[in-house]
Amino acid sequence: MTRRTLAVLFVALTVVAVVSALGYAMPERSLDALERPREASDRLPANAGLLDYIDPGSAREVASFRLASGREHGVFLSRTKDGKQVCLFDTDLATGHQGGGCNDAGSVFAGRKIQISLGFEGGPSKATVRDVRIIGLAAADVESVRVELSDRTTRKVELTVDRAFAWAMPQGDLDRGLEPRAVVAIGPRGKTIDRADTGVLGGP
Amino acid sequence: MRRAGVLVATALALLIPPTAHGAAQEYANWWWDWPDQGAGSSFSSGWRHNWFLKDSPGYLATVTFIDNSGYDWHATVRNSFKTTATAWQSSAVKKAHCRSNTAYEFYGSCVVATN
Repeated sequence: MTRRTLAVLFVALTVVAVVSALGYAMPERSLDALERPREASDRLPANAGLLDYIDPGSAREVASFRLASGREHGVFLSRTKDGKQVCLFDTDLATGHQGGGCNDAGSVFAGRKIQISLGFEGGPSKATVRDVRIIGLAAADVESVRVELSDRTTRKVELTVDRAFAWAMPQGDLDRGLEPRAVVAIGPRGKTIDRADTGVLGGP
Repeated sequence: MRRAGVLVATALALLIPPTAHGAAQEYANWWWDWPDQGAGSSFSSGWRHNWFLKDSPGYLATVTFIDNSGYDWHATVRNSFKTTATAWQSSAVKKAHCRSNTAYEFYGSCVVATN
């Protein structure tokens, strides 16, 4: 190997190292949904279960869906009252039941391309589980999202303008004994860039 | 590594969500070592919020409420966020339950709270 080749190799490796370090050290880009102007639909229900812990003014409805049982749900992204975490909560717009998760505000995706949360009613027996849903948030380079079921078929899920998604499992699929297994994030050129396990329905 | 758990426990305690109007009970606070390891709170009609606070994100975990009649699960949530949370606005007598769904070891605590 010549001295010139070694020098080129050294420069190339240095550039790769610096770019990687910058990518690792820089905080994630601020979530656009939290910065956009507030709309009427962003208002959390007054009876929202976790209202005591989040800054209601920061809440943005990033997706909505209807459960198999007909109940209307909103998916809200918001900051906690102390601003340290960002939460994604599935919210029953009538009863105020809420569920989801929170990550540190500077690392909402925690190094992943998608963050998801599974919710359901009933159990622990699988036979009594109903109203299965998955909510989630996708990073900027995710082009589409699919839910993978236990029979290895997939269901495409639409990404909203706020890069969120929500999927309510059809009762028919549940009646056939199917259950979600994972959510797959598809990136450029149709390549799978992340896969988040949902775990199995019900208890052990 | 376990010695670090004391520090983590202290840090997690600071993360316990402030209860504006009610009470909170920490019903688990330890290293989670195996999948399906779980914990439960006492029964009460007042419980509304159930939190699984982990030392870092990436560990799949479940929070739910279990009623004291048919022992059915309600408002179940499962995810790998750093904080996994659910709220069930019901006056039924119930207990909070949390469960690890991962084989990876992590430190975490579970907290149930009233409104």
